[in-house]
Amino acid sequence: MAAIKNPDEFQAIVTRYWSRLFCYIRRMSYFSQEDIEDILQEVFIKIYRYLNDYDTEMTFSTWVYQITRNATIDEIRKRKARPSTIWLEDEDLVKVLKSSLNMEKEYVNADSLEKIKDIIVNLPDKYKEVLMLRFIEEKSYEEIMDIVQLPKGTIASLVNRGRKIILTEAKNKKII
Amino acid sequence: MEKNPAQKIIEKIKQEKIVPESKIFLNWKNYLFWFIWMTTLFLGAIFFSFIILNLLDIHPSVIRQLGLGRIFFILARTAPYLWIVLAILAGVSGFLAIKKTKRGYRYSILFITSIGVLIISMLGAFLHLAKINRHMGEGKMFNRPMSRGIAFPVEKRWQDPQEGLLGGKIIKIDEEFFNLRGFDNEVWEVRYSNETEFKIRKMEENIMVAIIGEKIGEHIFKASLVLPPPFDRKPDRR
Repeated sequence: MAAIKNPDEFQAIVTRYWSRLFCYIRRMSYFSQEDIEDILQEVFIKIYRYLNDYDTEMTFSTWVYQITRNATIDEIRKRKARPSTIWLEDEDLVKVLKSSLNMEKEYVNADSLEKIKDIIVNLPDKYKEVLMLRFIEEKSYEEIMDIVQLPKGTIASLVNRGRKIILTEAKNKKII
Repeated sequence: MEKNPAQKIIEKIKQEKIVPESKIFLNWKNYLFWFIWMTTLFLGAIFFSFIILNLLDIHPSVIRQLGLGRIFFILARTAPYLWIVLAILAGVSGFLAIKKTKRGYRYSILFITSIGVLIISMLGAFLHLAKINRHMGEGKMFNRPMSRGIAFPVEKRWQDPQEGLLGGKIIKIDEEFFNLRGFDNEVWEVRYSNETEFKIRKMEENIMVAIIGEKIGEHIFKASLVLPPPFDRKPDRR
C-alpha cells in the first residue's frame, strides 16, 4: 500500500471499500447518509495520510475497518449520542440470529423479525459490536481483535456470551 | 454532473496537498512506549535485586535457631518495603506502557503480567548474582543513615541485639571472645564457646559476620550461631 505515489491510485481503494464501510458505519451509528459520507471522507483521508503506518501483521481490510470504527466512535462521542437503535436489514437480523443459534430454519416470519430486532437492539453494545462483525461482516476472531482492539480471548468470550444472551431471549420470546 | 465520493476525496487530497506521513513520524509514540516498557522492567529488575539482597540472609540455620514464628515477625518488621513497592510500581508502569503500544491490545493481562514478572525476576536475579546491587548499595546515594535504613533494612535486622541479632566486622580476636564493630559503629564484646556453631569458613579479623545469640550485658553478647554476612558493606570508620 505504501507503494501508492499518486492520489489517483488511491481512488481504487476508496471505490472498493466505500459501500462496505458505509453499511458498517450505519449499523454502528444510525447516522444520516450525509453524516456517514462526511465520516467516510475523513476516514479515507486519514487512511491516505497514514498509509505508511499499515503493516502486514493484519489485512488491509482489517486496518481500514479499525480506522473506520475509531472515527465513528469519536463522532458518536463528539455528539454525546449513543444510538438507541441500530440499522439492520431483515436479512442481517436473520443472519445474526441463525449464526448465533446455529439455526437451520430457513423461514422466519415478520413477527419474529421484530422480536429478533428487539433482542439485538437491547444487547449491550460490547456484544452487539462483536456479533455484527462476526456474523454480518463475517470477520474472523483475529480480524475482530484488530478492529475493536481487544485480546482474542476477550473477543471469543464476548461472542459466546452474546450468543447465549440471544439464545435465552429467543427462547423467552418463543422464536425458537 | 455530480462527482462520485471517491473523486471528491481524491480532489480534496490534491487540493489540500495531503501526503502520506513518514513511518518514523507515525510510529514515534509506539517506539517511545516500547522504550518506557524496557526501562521500567530494567528498573523493576534493579528493585527486585535489592529485595533479594535484603531477604537472602535467611540462612536455614537461622530458621532452626530462631523458629519460624520469630523469623516471620523479624521479616515483617524489616522487609524491604521500599523496594517491594517500587518493583510493583515499575511492573504496573511497564504493563500500562505495553498496553499503549500499537499492538498492545493483542496481549492479555495474564500474558503481559507473566512476561513482566519473568523478565523482572530473571534480570533481577542476574543483577544479584553479578553483585551489581551490592555495588549500587555502596553508592553515595545510600550512605546517609536515614536512606540506608530504608533502603537496606537487612542491615538494620542485624543491629538488634535485644532480639538476639548482631552483625558487623570482627576487629580483634581473643581466646574466648572477639570484638565486633557493628553497623552503628558501636564495639561489642562477643563471647563464644564450644557450644557456639560457626558457619563461617574461618574466623579472622576484618571479616563481616552475622551473629545470633543473646545480649548478656552492656555491649556484651553471647554468640550461639555465627554466620557469613548477607552483606559486604563495611561499617563506617570513626
